[in-house]
Amino acid sequence: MRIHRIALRDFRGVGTADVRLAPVGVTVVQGPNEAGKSSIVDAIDMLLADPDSSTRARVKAAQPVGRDVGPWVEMEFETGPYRLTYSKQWVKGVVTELHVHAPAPEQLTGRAAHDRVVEILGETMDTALFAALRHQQGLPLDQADLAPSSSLARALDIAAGGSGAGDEDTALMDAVDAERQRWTTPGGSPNKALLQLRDSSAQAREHASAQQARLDVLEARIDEHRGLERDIRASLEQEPDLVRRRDACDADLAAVAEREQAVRDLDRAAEAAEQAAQVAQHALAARRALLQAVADDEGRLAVLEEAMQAAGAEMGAAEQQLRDAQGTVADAVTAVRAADTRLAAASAAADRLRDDFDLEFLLERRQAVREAEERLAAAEEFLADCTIDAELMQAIEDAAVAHAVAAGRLADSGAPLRVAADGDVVVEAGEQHHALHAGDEVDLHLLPGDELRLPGVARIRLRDHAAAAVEEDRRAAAHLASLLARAGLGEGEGVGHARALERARIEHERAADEARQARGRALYDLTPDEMDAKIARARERAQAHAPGAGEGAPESLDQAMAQVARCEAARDDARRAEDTGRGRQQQAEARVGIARAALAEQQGRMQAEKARLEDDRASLEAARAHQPDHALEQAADGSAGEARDARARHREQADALAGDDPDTLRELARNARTALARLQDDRATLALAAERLLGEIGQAGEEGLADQVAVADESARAAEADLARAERQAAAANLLHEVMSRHLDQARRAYVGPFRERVERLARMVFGPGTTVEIDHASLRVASRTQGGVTVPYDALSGGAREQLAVIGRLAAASLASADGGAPVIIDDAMGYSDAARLQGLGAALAAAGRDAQVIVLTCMPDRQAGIGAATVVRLPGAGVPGAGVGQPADPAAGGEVA
Amino acid sequence: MRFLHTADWHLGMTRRFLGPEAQARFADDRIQAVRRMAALAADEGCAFVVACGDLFDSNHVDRRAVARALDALGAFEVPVYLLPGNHDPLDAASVYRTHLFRDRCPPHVTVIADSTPISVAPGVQLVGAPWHTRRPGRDLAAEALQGLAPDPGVLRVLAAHGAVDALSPDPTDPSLIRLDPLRHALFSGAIAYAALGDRHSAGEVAGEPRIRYPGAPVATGHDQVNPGTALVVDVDASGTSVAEHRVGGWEFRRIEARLGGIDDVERLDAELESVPDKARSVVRLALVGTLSVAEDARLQEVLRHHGDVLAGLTVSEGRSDLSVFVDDDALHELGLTGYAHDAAAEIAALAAQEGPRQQDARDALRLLNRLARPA
Repeated sequence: MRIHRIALRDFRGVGTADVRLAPVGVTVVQGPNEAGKSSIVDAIDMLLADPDSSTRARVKAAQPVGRDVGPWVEMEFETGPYRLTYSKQWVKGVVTELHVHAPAPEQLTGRAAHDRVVEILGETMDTALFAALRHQQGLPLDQADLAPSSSLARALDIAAGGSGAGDEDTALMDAVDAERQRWTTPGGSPNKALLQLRDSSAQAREHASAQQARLDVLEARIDEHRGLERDIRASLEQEPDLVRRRDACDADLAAVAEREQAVRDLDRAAEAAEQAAQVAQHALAARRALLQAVADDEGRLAVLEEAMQAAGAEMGAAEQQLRDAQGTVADAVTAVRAADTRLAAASAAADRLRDDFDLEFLLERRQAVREAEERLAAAEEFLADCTIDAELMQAIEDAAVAHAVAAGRLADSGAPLRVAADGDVVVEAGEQHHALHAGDEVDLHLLPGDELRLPGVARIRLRDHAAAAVEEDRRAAAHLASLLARAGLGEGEGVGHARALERARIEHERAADEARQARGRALYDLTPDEMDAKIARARERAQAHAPGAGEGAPESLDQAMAQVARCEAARDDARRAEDTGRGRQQQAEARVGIARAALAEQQGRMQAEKARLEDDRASLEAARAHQPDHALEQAADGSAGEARDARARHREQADALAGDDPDTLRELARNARTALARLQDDRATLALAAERLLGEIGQAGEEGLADQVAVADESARAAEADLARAERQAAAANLLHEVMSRHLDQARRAYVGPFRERVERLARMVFGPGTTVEIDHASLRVASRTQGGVTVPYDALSGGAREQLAVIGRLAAASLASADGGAPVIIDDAMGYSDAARLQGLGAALAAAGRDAQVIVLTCMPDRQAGIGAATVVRLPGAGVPGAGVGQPADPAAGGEVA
Repeated sequence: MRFLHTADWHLGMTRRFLGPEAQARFADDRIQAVRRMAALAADEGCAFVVACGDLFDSNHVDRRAVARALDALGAFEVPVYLLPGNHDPLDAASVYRTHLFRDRCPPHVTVIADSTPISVAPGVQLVGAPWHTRRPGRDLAAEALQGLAPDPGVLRVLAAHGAVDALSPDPTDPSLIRLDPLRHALFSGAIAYAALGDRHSAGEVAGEPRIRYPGAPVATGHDQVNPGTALVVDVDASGTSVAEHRVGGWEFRRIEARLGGIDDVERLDAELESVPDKARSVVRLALVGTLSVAEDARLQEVLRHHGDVLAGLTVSEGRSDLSVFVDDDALHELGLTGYAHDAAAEIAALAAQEGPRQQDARDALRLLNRLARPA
């Protein structure tokens, strides 16, 4: 497809735009951002895909914001043999118009027009290629997905010398793949279904084997049963022989038994004789024992008598020891009593001294009480008369001061006078009396009210002067006088007396306190009455004591206490001596007890021994009376001889019998019987086993095992057949897939050659001479770039290089497919990563591709595309200029310079 | 004296090449054959029936098979003597000793338990050589004949089971029936007829018409001669005559085909089409030759069709060798071009040469043919 012209009206932000594109070569559409460059690309899409009735979101979004008009797009383009003008308006005033100019003129409107275009495009345009070669703004510029493009594939196939079979072969490959996946995973291993078949086949075989095994067990039992029956028959055949043998042995045994009876009789006779001999021998032994017993009794009696005497002696010694011990104890008791007496005396003396001391002490304390009470009484007497106290004293002091102040003030209000005598003259003032001579002078202070008298001469008085001061002085004096009177001071006694009186009062208060404390100390815990009572009792006790105990009596309490301690020690010593004595007495008593018991025991023994001797002598006598000693000896000798003879006869017969080996005969007989019994036992066991087997067989035999085996075997064979079929199908599909994949791979490798060549030619313009690339033959993407001997995988290349290769890939595809109609390469505001030098090269590549294909570059930065030679440049004005958006191709010749 | 001689009913037998439906038909037809023999015995005026072994396929057949057999035996109007054979020996687990058999056995049916002569009619005795184990290890027939002196007033029929030494591939088997004692007994007059069982093909033994196998009343496998018959035997002092009567209808066929082109495939189709009574026919094919993938596809179609119609259709792997090839014409016909063409050519080459992947390659070609052929 080649686009000749595209016109927009009221399409998003574009008022009107009419862009003519060079059908072959590069067209650069310039315009600032939002001038509507991207709208051109979207408008192409919408025109081709969306019917005028479409309400798709992108159709609605194409309506200009805030304007009630329908977006309109018109495009002139050629595709295959067709050349057409196609326009549509959506949303508002919808309309579709199609003019087909070539090959045959057609004119259609509405849905028919849309459907016709779809039909034409389906017939002539490689949609996959069209989509792959268009780069949209805002998306990263990555390599195009060229693999689905049929026209490119066809072009490459033709270039590689193939027939250009295209889609159909891929369909076959898909069918092979589907067939293969019936039994195989994409990875090439058996899939679940095949594994299940294998599994169920194995299981079915296992089940069949198990059934067969059951049948085999049954057959084995049947055989076993046959064997048992055979054994039973053999056993029955053997039996008569064994019976005969047993009977012969039994006859032999009977003869032997008779002879054995005879030997046993002889043995019994010998035994009887031997017993008689033993009886005689025993009687003789008993007699000898009796004689010996009498002798023994006598010997023991002698020994006992000696022991008896020794016991008597011990008894005597023990009794003497006891008597000694008793004497010692009696002495000790006397000593203890004496010590006790002395101790009592010492204690009494000590008590008397202590009582005397107590009485004396109490008397001293009572004396101290009395003295304190006297002092207290004196002080209290003074205090009772005393009228002054601290408060009154303070008042007096205050009044004295006040009086002094008033007096001072009065004095101040008086008149100081100097009397100078011109001759002798007597001057009196108040109490003062001055006899002056001529030239004498005297200073006087005349108080108000006072008179200066010159007796006989004159009386001078200050007239009505300072009456208030006089009054105050008088009042202060009166107040002082009243206070002093309260203090019990008489006329003429002043403040000094009051102070002396107050000091005396304080002194007596202190003395009273001191006396009270002394009395309390002397009484301590007693009241005076209690003290008196205590004194009375102490006196009674002291008087109760006997008067001094004569000489040696202690003089002090200490001496008395020491004596008591000495006496106690003496008494303790005496008691210990007594205890020791008593211990010895007990020992002696014990010894006497033991000796007495020993004596008694010896006496008992002797009596018993004497009685036994008597008994034995009596027995001996009685026995001798019955049979004398010599008769017994004769009888013993005779019976011994008879016994020896009888035993000899028996042994002779027994030896003869043993020589004929009756044990062997018995063993033979026993063996014959055992063999017969075992035969019968075994047969019974066999019969039982056979019976049991028959039961089991009968049970199993009616289960129809053979059929079960057949059924199981049949299932196993069926499962095995299914599996074999599946395995064969899998093998066939795998083989087919393997071979076809390999050939497809080779084919792709072959036809990728021209594409690589084309990419490399363009890449050298950008990256420099010698640049080569590897193309992934399945995806037709650049896998790596090699430059200056260094190979770098595509993903590891810089952003710029990747971007450039992405453009180059599109250009190569477009130019290869151009012969078939191809599709325009549209690049919208890309190549932001490319530097100036590369842009130059890229421009050359674009121009080169433009020789075969239509290339449309949309850009807002014209200088980026400055490197493209021979480009048609179309400028779009800025957005929001209604009616001004008519882009006109610039002069192609000037394009290279301007753009 | 006329009696019916049969053997080898093999009731309860299953054949793995039969599908479930054909299997049921097979089982049913063999019971029907027993009923047909009952009718035959009545029609021909037989005095008794002797069945010489392997009447059951195993001692452990399903009880339904036993029950149906007993039911069919009830249809006989004359005494029937059953001889235990190697498949149904009278051992501890014998089918003849099961409760079912003992409880339901019709009164005119007798299981021959030993070789004591049985008087089956005035002046006629039946001497059986029953099997008591699957491996007797001795010639039971010779044992039964031992001490059997000729008696001018008595006709004796020997009933025995097993392969005769003259016909056995393993002459050292001690259980084989030796011909010499049989011949001797016949010549001496101790017996008048040796009724045998075991072989499923019918016929006399070693040119002696008085020693006979009746064959299976219903064929049970391939390569059986004249199966599907029962024998009506006339014996008297003057001689013996035997008449074969057809009682069973199954056929086991082998077809060998050389396939060199589409014509051969169509011929095979016609031959299979011509098989009568297909529901009771089992065909085993041996296919040798070379076919193109397209011809092979046709062959597979033919085989599938007849496999659906016949009771059984199998291709013997051992006896078959069928190559499938692809040539340019075929490839062209399939519309294969480009890499698919090359791949097909490679697989065709693999299929044409001996090798471990030859079979896979043939299958792969068939698959390719199926996938690529326009629908």
